[in-house]
Amino acid sequence: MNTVIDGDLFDVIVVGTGIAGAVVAKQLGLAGRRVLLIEAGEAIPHGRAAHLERFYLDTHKYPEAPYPVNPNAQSATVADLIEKDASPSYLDQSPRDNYTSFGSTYERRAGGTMWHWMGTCLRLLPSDFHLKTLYGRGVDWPIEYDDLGLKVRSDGLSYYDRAEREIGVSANKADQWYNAAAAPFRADYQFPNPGIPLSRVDQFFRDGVQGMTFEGYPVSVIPTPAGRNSRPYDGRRVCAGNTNCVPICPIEAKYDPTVTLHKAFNTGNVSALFQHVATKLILDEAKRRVTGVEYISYSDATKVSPSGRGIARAKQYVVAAHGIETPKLLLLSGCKNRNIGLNLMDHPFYLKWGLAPRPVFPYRGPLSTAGLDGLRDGQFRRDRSAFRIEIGNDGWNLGASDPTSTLLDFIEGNNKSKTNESRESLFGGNLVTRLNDIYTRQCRIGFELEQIPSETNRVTLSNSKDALGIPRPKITYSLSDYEKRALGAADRLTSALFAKLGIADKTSYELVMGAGHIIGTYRMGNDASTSVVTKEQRSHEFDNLYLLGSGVFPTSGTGNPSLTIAALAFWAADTIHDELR
Amino acid sequence: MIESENETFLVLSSALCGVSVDSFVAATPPKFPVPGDLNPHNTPIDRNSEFIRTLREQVGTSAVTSLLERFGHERQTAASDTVAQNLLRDPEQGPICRSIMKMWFLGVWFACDRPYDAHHVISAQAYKDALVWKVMQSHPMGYSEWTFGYWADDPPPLETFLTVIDK
Repeated sequence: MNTVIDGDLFDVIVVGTGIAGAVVAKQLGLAGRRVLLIEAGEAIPHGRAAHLERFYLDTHKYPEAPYPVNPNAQSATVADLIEKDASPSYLDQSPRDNYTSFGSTYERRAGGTMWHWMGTCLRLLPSDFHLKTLYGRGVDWPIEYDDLGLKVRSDGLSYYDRAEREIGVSANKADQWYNAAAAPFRADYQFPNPGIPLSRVDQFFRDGVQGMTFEGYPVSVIPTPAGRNSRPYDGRRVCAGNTNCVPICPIEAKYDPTVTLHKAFNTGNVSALFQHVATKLILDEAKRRVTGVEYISYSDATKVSPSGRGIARAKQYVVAAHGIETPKLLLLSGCKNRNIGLNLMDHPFYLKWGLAPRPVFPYRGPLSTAGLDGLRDGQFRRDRSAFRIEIGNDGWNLGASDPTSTLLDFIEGNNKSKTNESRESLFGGNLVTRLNDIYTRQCRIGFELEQIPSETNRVTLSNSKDALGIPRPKITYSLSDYEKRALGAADRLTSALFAKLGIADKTSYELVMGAGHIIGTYRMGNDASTSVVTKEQRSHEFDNLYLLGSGVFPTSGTGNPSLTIAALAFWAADTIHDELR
Repeated sequence: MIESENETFLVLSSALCGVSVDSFVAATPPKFPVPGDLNPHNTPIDRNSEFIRTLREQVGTSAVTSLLERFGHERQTAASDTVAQNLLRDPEQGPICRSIMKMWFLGVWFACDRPYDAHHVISAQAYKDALVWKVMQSHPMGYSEWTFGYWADDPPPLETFLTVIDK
C-alpha cells in the first residue's frame, strides 16, 4: 500500500540522520521550519547498555561490534574486509591487495557512523582548500578557509565555531597555533571546553621529538581537539578514559549526532521516519526540481521485513547519506550529472607500532589525544600526499590485535607479535612479568594520508541487489602513485622517529586501512561539468536539492572530516532557510 | 579436609597464570574499598564457577575431573608450579591448561584444537575481569573505573592490581 506524505506538511525533507542531517534539521527546526528526517536504520536507542553488552561479548570488537546487524539496511563491515572468506560484503568490490581495497565502513542508524568516530576535531588547514593552486595537485575547493573559520555569521560565530560548539570540542587555542600553516582562529575565540590532558604515550613522544625535523619541517606533538567532554557540557558527562571511543563510548562523554537529533526533535518542528529506506528521488528535469522521495519501510530491524512503500514530499530536499549511499540514491533516481559517484577518497591509514624503551602505559585514556600535525603542509605536497600522524593510546590493539596476540604468543610459544623471538612458552609469574613489560611499553602511530581525486575511484550501481531489492553500491578504488610515495615518506619518518626515541619497530605486516572517512563522489565546484554541487552544496541539476557530507569535499584535506562536515551543514542550513523565506 | 573441584581449579589457575588466588578477583585499585563486599560479580567463586562450568561444557566433565585429580595428587609431593609445568607438557592436558589460562587472561574460550581462534567471550563480566587489563595496569577497554585525566600520570604499581607469584 502506498503512503503519501503530502507536500504541505513539511518544508524540508532530509535523508540521513548523521551529523550533517541532524545539524540541518536542528537549525531549520529552530528557525520554525518543518522538517522530516528519513532514516534507513533504527531509531535512537533508549540507552546504550544493550550495545555495550553486544560489544563485550563480541570476539573481534571491530567498529561495528556494538551495533545490531540490520538486514533491511545493510552496510559494509570491517569483518567483511578482514575475513574475506566470510559472507560477501554489502559493498561490491574486488580488492586485489592493500592498495585496492576501500577500507572504510559506515553505520546505517539514527546518528550514523559517528557512533564510532574517534572524536578528532581538526579544522582543515587554509592550504587544504587550494591544493591545485599551491602545489599543482588535485583541485581547489570553491571555498576557502576564511569562509568556514573566520567569517562571522549572524550569531557572531563562524561555521567552524558553531560546529565546535555543537560537538563541544575540547582544546586549548594556544596549542593549535603551532606553525604558520596551522588554521587560524578568530582573535576572541575560545573552544567551548578546555583541552584534554596528554597521555603518558603522548608525553613520551613530546619529550623525545624535541628539535626533530623531517624534510625540513618540524616534528612536534600537538594536542588534538576532541569531540569529548573535558568538563560537563550539554548535559553529558566528562570523559572517563574508557579507551573505547571506537567502537562505542560507554558514557556518551564523546559527542555523537543523537545529541543534535534530540535537540532537533525538541524544537517541535522536526519529525522522523526511522526504518524507512529512501529508494528514489522523483525528478522534474524541466523545472529543475525534486518533487518527492520514494521509500520502502520495514517493520522489524532484526529480519528482512518490508512493510510498505510511500512517497514523501516537501519544498526543499537534502540528501546527507555520505559518500556511498548518497551517490547510490542519485544514480537510482536517474540524475544525469556525470560526476556523481566519481572521485571517491578516504584518508588511507598506515600503521606503525613498536616497543618504547621504558613504560609509557598505553591502553589508558581516550584512544588518541595528540598527533604529529606539523607535517600536514609543505612543498612536499607537489610530490606526495601530506599526512597527519595520530598517536594512539591503544597500544597494539589496532595493528596487532593486542592484548590477545602477544598473550597467545607467550602461551603457545609463537612469535606473531615479534616479541617472542625464541618462541618461549611461559606460564606462572614469568608470564605475567613478561607481559607486563611488553604491554606497558607498546606504542603506535598512524599516518592519515591526504588523498587527491581520481575519476577511476568511484561508486556505481552493482548488478547485485540488497535484501529489499535495491542495487548495492559497487566500489572501484586504488591508491595513486602520489599516495604511495607518501607511504615511502612515512617509512622514512618512522625509521628516524623510532631511532630518535629508542623505539624497537615491531610492525609485523604492512597495514594500510581505511580511516572510516568516505570522501568525494559528489564534490562541490563552480563548474557543473566537473562537479555535482555548488559551493552552497546545492545540486547543479536541481535547484531545491542539497547534498551534504564529506561527499562534497573536492580533496580529502589533511584533517578528519567530521568537523568540516558539521561546519558545512550549518552553512547549508542558513542557505536553505533563506531559500524558504 | 577434602578440597572441592572448584577449589582445586582455583589453585591450578593460580599456578598456571602466575597470580595469587586473590588477584583473580581484585578489580582495578579500589579507591573506596568496601570490606566484605559480597557482590557476586566480585567474589572468586562466581568467576571460578563460571569458568569451570565452561570448561566442563567444552572438554567434558571427565577430562576436567582427571585434570584436577592429577593436579591435586601430584601437588601432594611437588610444588604447584612444577605440577603445572608437567601438565602443560602433557599432550592431552596441556592444551586444556592453555585454554584455562586464556579464559582467565582474556575472558574468552579458545578451543583446545584451535589455539588461535577466539571461540566466544564467556560473559561480559568475564571480559571485564580479564587478567590482561590488570597485567597492563589499566582497565578493560570499554569499562573504565577511573576518572578524567588519569591517563596523564603513571598508573599505580603492578602490585596494586595483582600479586605475582614465584617471579
